[in-house]
Amino acid sequence: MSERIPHTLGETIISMEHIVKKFGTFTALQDVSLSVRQGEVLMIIGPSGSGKSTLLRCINLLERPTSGTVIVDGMNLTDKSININKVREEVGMVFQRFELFPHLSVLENVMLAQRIVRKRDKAEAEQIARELLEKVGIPDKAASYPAQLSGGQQQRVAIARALAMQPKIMLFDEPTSALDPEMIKEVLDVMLDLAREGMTMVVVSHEMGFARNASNRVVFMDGGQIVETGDPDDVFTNPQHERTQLFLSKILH
Amino acid sequence: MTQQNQTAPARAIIQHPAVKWLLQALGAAAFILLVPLVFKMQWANFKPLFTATSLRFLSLGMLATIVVSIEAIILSLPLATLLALGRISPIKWISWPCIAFIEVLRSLPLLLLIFYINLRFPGLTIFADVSVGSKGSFIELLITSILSQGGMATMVALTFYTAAVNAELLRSGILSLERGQAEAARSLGLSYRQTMQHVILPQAYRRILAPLIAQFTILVKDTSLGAIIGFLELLKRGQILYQRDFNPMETLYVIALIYFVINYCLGLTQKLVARRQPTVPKTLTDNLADI
Repeated sequence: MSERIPHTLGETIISMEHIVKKFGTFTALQDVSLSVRQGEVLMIIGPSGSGKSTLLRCINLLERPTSGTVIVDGMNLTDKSININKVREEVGMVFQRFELFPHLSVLENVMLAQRIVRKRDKAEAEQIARELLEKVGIPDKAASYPAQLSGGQQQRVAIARALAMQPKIMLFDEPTSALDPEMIKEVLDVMLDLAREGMTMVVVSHEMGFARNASNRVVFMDGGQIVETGDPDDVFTNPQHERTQLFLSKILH
Repeated sequence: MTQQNQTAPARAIIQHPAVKWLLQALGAAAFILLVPLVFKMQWANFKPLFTATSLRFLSLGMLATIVVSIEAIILSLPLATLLALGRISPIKWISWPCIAFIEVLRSLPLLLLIFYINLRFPGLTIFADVSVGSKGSFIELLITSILSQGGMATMVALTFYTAAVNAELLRSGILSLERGQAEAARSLGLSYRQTMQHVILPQAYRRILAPLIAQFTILVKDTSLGAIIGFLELLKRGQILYQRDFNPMETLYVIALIYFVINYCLGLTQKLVARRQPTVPKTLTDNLADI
């Protein structure tokens, strides 16, 4: 096990208050409040259907909360007048199933939003894209298409694609759940590097090793509520709530 | 397993591009020769078709068919895209008219549409109607028949009809994409319009390429409905010829061959477009026999 990463925390950058999210009659989130400070690496864990992904997706409004407020980087997302695209430029997201654009090459995937949203010229966008592919360890795959890459490589491209926008916050929605075991490490290594650089990260994942090394806080969710919050070592070794204990006993073996 | 190994070389030979092409050409040639025999066509009846005037007369029809088809194809594409996007729009006053337009046009016989447009909009042409005896150079005659009332009405009807059908096709292509594709694009800060333009539509069009081209071959064939309202396209000109020479079987056979060649070329464009696509995982039929 590598050494635990120290965190330098800044101002509050994400502030969610009294979030309720209903899908029809089903309540996915029941009055959840959570705030994240700059430089934090927050892990959200919990059983399937506990609302952790929904909560994550409320941060960039892929899910619109039924009620409650979400403030990201000083902008109130629940305010109708806010331009959500401006907020999303600052919030990168990585998905469980990568969601690379299959009709574009790896390089074009990383360049697309830079060109369209950031309005960078082609040379600049390409330079940034190549630097990022270097950073995630696959500079030689620039000309390949997503279908030609392994899952781990695809997910690293997806991380590079999000980083190309130079976001202030990165959201990870189960980034290693769709990967073969031997590919998980290469993705986690990239995420560890990001944490070391001080990126603000919110990660939905059950990677306990990553949680212990990279995160400074773990949130355990169940039934659409936050059950327990704390330092990763405390939560994993000494969970306070019965539901947390039950959950951890199932996944730690 | 052993049986597969034995047949492997034979299969390799058959699948060689040159051999494949040769076999296809032989098959087509056999078919082309077989049909006149089965239908008891007579060689003498082909002769009037291969005179200079007949060939010129038929060429005009063939080119009119091709040009009107291309016009309708090109005009229908943006219209189909707008209709499909309109139909999936969350805004009711955009989606409802699009749904109405698509559903009405798809459910009407194309011929009715051609009649209706021809009758309702008699001023579609800037030329006096061309008739069989018109004098003029080849190009003049071609342009006048394309821009005739019949040609224009056929083109407009085909454009709207094909746009309505292809709008549904495109919508199915859009809906077949992973929801995550749009989410990934939006989470990068792309707007709805940018997401559609750069991420969703390019993929949707690739997915529907084969049925899209199939619809265009239907369009090419349906230009012949214009014959009924006096559009001097390929079939109409063929009719005029065989009424003079009393050789309907042979004339229609030659016309059928011309339609086949046009649509075969259209089918080839699919391969050309498909070749420009990035590598995608193998399709079901690539190894269906091996599974």
